[in-house]
Amino acid sequence: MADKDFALMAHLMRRAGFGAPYDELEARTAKGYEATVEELLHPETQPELERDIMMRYKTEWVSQAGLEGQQEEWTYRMINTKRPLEEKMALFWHGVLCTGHAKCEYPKQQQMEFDMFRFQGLGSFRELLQGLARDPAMVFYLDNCMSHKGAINENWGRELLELFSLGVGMDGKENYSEDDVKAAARAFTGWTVTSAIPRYPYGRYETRFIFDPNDHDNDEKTFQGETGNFNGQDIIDIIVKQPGAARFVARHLYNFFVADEPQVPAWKDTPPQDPEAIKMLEDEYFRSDYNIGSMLRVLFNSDFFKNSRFTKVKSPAETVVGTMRLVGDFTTPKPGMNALTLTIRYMGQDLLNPPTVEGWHTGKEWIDSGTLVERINFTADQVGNTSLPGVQAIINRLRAQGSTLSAEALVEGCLDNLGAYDITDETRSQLVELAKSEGEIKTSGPEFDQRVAQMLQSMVATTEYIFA
Amino acid sequence: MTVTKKDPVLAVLQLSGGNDAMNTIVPYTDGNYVDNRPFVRIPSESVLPINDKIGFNPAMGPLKKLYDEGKVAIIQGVGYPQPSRSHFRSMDIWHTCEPDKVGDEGWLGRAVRDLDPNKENVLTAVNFGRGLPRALAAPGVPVASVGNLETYGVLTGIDDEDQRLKALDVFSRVYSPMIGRGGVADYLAQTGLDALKGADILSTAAESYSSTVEYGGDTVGQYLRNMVQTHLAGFGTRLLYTTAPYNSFDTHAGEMANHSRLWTETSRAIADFYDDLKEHDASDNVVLLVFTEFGRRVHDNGSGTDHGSGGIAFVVGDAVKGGLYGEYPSLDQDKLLEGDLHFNNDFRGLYSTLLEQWMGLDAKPIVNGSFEQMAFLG
Amino acid sequence: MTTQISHVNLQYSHTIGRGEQFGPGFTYPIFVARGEDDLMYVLCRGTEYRPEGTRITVCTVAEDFVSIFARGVTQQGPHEYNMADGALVWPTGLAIDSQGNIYACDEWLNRISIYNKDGEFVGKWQENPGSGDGQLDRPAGMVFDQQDNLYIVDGGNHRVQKFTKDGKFLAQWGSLGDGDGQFNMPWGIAIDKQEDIYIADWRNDRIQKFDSDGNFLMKFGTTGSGEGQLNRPTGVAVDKEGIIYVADWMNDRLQVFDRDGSFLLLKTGDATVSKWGMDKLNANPEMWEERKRAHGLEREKDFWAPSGVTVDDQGRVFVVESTRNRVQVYQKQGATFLGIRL
Repeated sequence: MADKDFALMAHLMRRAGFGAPYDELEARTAKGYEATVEELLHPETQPELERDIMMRYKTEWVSQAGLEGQQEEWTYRMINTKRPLEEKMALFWHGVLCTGHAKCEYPKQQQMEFDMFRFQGLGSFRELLQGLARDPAMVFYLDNCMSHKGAINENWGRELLELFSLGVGMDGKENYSEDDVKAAARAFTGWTVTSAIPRYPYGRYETRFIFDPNDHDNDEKTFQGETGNFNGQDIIDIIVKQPGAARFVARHLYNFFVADEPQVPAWKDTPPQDPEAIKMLEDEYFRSDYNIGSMLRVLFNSDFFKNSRFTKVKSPAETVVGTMRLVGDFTTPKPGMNALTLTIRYMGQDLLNPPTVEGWHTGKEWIDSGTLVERINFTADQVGNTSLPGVQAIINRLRAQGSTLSAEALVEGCLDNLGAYDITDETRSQLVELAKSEGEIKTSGPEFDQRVAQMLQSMVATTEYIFA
Repeated sequence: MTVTKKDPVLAVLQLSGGNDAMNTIVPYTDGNYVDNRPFVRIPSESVLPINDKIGFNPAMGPLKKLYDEGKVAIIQGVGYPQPSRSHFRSMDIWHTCEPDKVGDEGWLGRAVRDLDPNKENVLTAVNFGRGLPRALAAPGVPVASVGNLETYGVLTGIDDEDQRLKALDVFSRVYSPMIGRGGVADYLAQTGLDALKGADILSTAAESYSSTVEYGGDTVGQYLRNMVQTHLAGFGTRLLYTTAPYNSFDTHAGEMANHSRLWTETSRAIADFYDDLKEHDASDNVVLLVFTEFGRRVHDNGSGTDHGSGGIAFVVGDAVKGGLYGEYPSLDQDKLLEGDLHFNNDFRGLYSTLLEQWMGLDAKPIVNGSFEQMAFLG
Repeated sequence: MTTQISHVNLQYSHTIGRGEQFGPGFTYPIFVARGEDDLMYVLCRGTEYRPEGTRITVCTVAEDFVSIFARGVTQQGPHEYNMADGALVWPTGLAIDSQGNIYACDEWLNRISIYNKDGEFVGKWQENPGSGDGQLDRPAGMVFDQQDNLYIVDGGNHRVQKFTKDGKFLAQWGSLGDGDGQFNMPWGIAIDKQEDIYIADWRNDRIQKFDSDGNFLMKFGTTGSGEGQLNRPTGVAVDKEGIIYVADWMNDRLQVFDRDGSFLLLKTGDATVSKWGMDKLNANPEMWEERKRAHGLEREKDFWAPSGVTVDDQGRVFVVESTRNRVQVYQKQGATFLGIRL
């Protein structure tokens, strides 16, 4: 059985990052839990990826012009980042503050949005929303560029309230009215983007946010009970003061980092599964002046987080990236990135292209019979590939335990190496049976490699491994 | 009309990338066609004429033959208002029937819900190809997605067959005890066992199949063959779906050679599909829809054609009353829509026809409204 | 304004190309080699998700399309690569021998593929990855000398190797470092009339010059964005007068240096709509309107991450931009008087 501190570190790194191989977990355990939390919350203390090398080998990552290439680039970043929480925040916010490729003709525009999520994603929620309201990808995606003085398009105004900041309601009550939606839309008139250079013949260029004062509705508006000559900035300042905003951010953080919650549309009438945890996060939201990093510090150091091991279904991106970090592959740019990233799509998560502005439904909704087969087959193929360095490292660590291993020791050793996985007693006894079925387990010779691989393959196919 | 007691089956072939309607059903005597296609034009003498105005691309001989036998409805000028020239967006619209907002439910996903409301058959709808097209996606609706019928299954990466069987044995043993415990683990275990069961059932399809029809080696041919195998196996599958891969019909350049190759393969595959069903006396209850997300620009770009609107669709089968439906859009400059063929036939009317007249479903909630139906069935 | 005389000037000529996965056009072109009869061989790196775009496009300097050859191949999975003869995975450099055969190197396969002037595959150097003599690790730039010996920049091994055209190892120099004669992931290469060798020492942000035996002669360039400074130079070319052209990748510009390495001038790009681009816009006429309305269309002129530079005997300078699927062509002119006439 893995050491408790080690198991807790494995949990932290799965949630705050994309998992880590055994030796990294050992090193971090030695460094300590709280110190690791601080390091994660301060990504700027860790080196950035060497983008010149990425772009040299992956030529299309310079102009960031294709969806598939950008899915590759992001996956590469998630696998190789030394700032796991920074990248995890980009994934988190992408799932909440959604733009989609189907309505973004230049993926670089989305990458610039993700950069904002990377660099501001742990900062103030107010600043993040202010940035989002000026983000060209978002302005285009939700039609705010089509919203004019006297002829508003409510799309952005509505989604800002419903999906990006307050949610429909809480504790059975509504968080905003239809009049609030209209007032918000009016306040954001004139917040638009420059006309784009068409795609032909040489490709796209970035568009920029601009404010057009002539198209801005300067009349008085009433929003969330306050009246004034509001512009978009004021609307966001009002939003972030609301209890609904605290609840919204707290529940999203809880759902992403702690345990699967019901989907967002149910939040008005379905209370949080752990109201005390949500209250702690809400309090910190106001105490810290809406600081996401401060909320996460509370979260990661809380008992509710530490006690939440294996209560979340891994997303497809977490599954694929975590597996790559485990097996130690794609540590430098190389061909095969496309096939790798397509598996994320096949498992139901088309990065940069969520199904709707609501993002992906998470938790058990990641799983159907098709996506489950993709998930199991992919992970089993990887951990069964004994030529990969991470798999070799697992084999060598187990080999170092002695010239023979008991079936139980093989099972425990493999579970530890996967990140201190917990399994039910039934599953454990089935795996022990499997380990015993081919006789004594000698660690010398290549047959041992195969037996470890076989055990890892059976483990990643279990229901337990679907969880993080 | 053929009276059939068998359940009707709808097969769908999606031509991804935007098939060039004008070089598929060619307006070969229209002077505008000659003027607009200096480089990407089918010579009039090689067109397979339907009448004195339009004809098939010369690579489409097998489909022309089926047309002459009265088995092919050509749906002309098909599209939707305010066309999008984005592959993703336009395909989404065809998949979800939501031209105004981004929808997440596919029309066929909704059809599966009506066909099998109690989720009794994991194989009511089967997609061939990896990943699920949005047309088949709907929350809570299970759809099998098969990358390769011959090798489909769980833990197929384990090469050693003994090892694999052992692993599958462990798999079912660790999944089974979770059933009935409630919660997410229960759901996951059920899903895992469904997947195993679906794979077991599907694996019998290829085993029990034999045919004298030899399909081409291309992906479309292979997947259409997989569809026939699945249909013949009698699993109760009502919807079969596949996609010509890699946006292949996106002929921005080198169109003459590429488009001709694509249609050589595709029309052969469609004819093989039909012949194979016929050989097995199973062609009476299958109708095949062939569609694409948009047509291409009227004017060529020197080597290919770019994204346009106003497309061509086909419906093929014994139950189909062959012929021309809708109008061939005018190529006159003042009749074009931003330089594209102007659609005159809403695809949701085409869907409604198939759903109501063929599948016997209520189309309105599936396609989000009432649209004029066509008379190509019965 | 001060008056100055420069003995070199570059006049923008025209732009070639458009983004296209087959036929007339390029897909992430990474290098251009000039052949006989005004032919250009444009090496398209392509992408993994559209492997048919990986190819060599042959066209003329006047932008007439000739042919394509050496296609990319579909990856079967994350760990399966197609090694078929003539196929390219990560092509990087091209060189043309005295017979007009085209040599292409592939930095993933660590392989040199050879095609005749009609584009037919005629042979390869067996894949030989490693760091020993004659072994390759991510080969980048290549150039033939007058005796048909082939110099290959062996990027991953931080060195230059010299081979006969049949692949027999002759010599090598360089190691990882920033001292004279050392390299950090070098990329482009050029050779002058005296058979001296110029290397774009990519991660050291400098150009180094050697004699044909690998003896260090000089270096120029330091990290930065000022005149004469470099940020990850990808390509280097030298004309018959010894003038040196550098593709200054992350500074988005072309810099021109005198024989002694002193800075002469720089260009930030002058692209215009190419012939093929004109066809494309005429087929999509609303884009002409969009271009009129577009904000910042002048950005289209600018170089964006130029990935290679080539100069021919007529003093035409070809700057290839993988990001923009085009080649901007400049014409070198002799002594030019700049500034206010006295």
